[in-house]
Amino acid sequence: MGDFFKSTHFKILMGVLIVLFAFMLRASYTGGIAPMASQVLGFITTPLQQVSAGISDSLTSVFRKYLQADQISEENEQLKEKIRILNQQLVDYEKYKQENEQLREYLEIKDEHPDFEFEYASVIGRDSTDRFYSFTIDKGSLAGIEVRDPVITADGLVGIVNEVGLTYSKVLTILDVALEIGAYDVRTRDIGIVTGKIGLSGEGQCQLSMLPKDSGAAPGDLVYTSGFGGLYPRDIAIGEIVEIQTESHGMSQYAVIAPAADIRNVKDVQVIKNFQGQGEQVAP
Amino acid sequence: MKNNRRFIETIKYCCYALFLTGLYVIQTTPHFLEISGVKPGLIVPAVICIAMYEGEFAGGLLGAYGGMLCDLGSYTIFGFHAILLLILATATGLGIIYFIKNNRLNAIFLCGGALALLNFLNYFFYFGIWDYENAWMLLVTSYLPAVLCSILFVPLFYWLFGWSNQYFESKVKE
Repeated sequence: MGDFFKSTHFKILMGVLIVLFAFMLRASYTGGIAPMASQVLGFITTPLQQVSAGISDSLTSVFRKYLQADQISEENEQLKEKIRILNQQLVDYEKYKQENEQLREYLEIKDEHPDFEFEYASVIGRDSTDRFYSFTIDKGSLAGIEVRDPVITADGLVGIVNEVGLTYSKVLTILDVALEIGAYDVRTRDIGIVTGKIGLSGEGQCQLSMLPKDSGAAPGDLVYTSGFGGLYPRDIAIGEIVEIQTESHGMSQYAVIAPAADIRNVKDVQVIKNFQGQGEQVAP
Repeated sequence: MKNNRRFIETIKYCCYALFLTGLYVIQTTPHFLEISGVKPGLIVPAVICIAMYEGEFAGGLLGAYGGMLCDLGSYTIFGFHAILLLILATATGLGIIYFIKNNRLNAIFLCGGALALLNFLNYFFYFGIWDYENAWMLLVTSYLPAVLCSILFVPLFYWLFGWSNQYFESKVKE
């Protein structure tokens, strides 16, 4: 085996290792900006991922339709074909209706926050190793997306852009333990910090911590972003309180939150590329 | 007769690179191959199986490529998987040449070991050292099922790369 360590092959592998190490150092230095090798790979794989995500969605839809048609055929064989066609139309109608409603809701958000600059994006990848439902979207720096841009759906906050390539971006969700979001209870105006918890992320929930001990927050209360810190715009829905507990040290309370957005199954999102107060400290 | 080994090997490694790219697309397709929230990692077992048949050099380079794909899809720092898979695939190639028999059982052990090591280091650097509350739960509920799920694909990859190795070898004229 000693011969291997003196061989040209070993030197080449060491060279590759050094280059990869340099990439890693650069990635750690530049933060969320993807290194060149990642950008190139992303440029090649993003269209493939778009196609595979589309196929996956279509297969699910076809499978569902097939099951419906099978049920109907048991009831009335003669009308099966007609019902299939009607079902197809219904699926299309529902799809367009849903899209229309979604766009209307986005328009409402846009009306409420005229300073928002949106970029519509689709989810094209979810990594098998990620524990907090993070995902990759099909838009990147070419569309003007930058690291730390907030990501929302019509229902509420989803997360934040963590890494940007030319044609893709990676999004960390609000279920991730690495994120901390300034938030407030809409009814009581108590402020706290929303963060992911390992024990809650599996159930698709997160936590509002640092609530005052005498807080009147209760299940059913809505939690919105406070805008504090300038990372997220103020008054974006985060979720609804489902449970209130006292912290183990007894000094404050925390609330378990069910996110307003369906983070585990989100397919389309809006990235807020610009908003008033972005990057500035905003008083709570 | 003209020696075509270099040409055939180039074709073979290009096919492997394309195959790994395909696996990356499958691995990151939302909800595809997902069972109860657990998705298998396909690239790591594939890369280790390739290294078992192709040796330390080609295995190491394809390991680095597979690792870069893993880095592209994951939320670790770029280079994390690439460096580790380069080292693990090279070590696997050398291990098969000098110490270990090339058979299915050893493939399962080697892939299982590589998956366990990668997932443990991932857990250690991204959760363990940061002292997140209940971080150990991730090991049990997320990392371990993902490793076990990924190991299920090892026999398939072992057979596939064994077959392809023989196929391309049969095309070589020396």
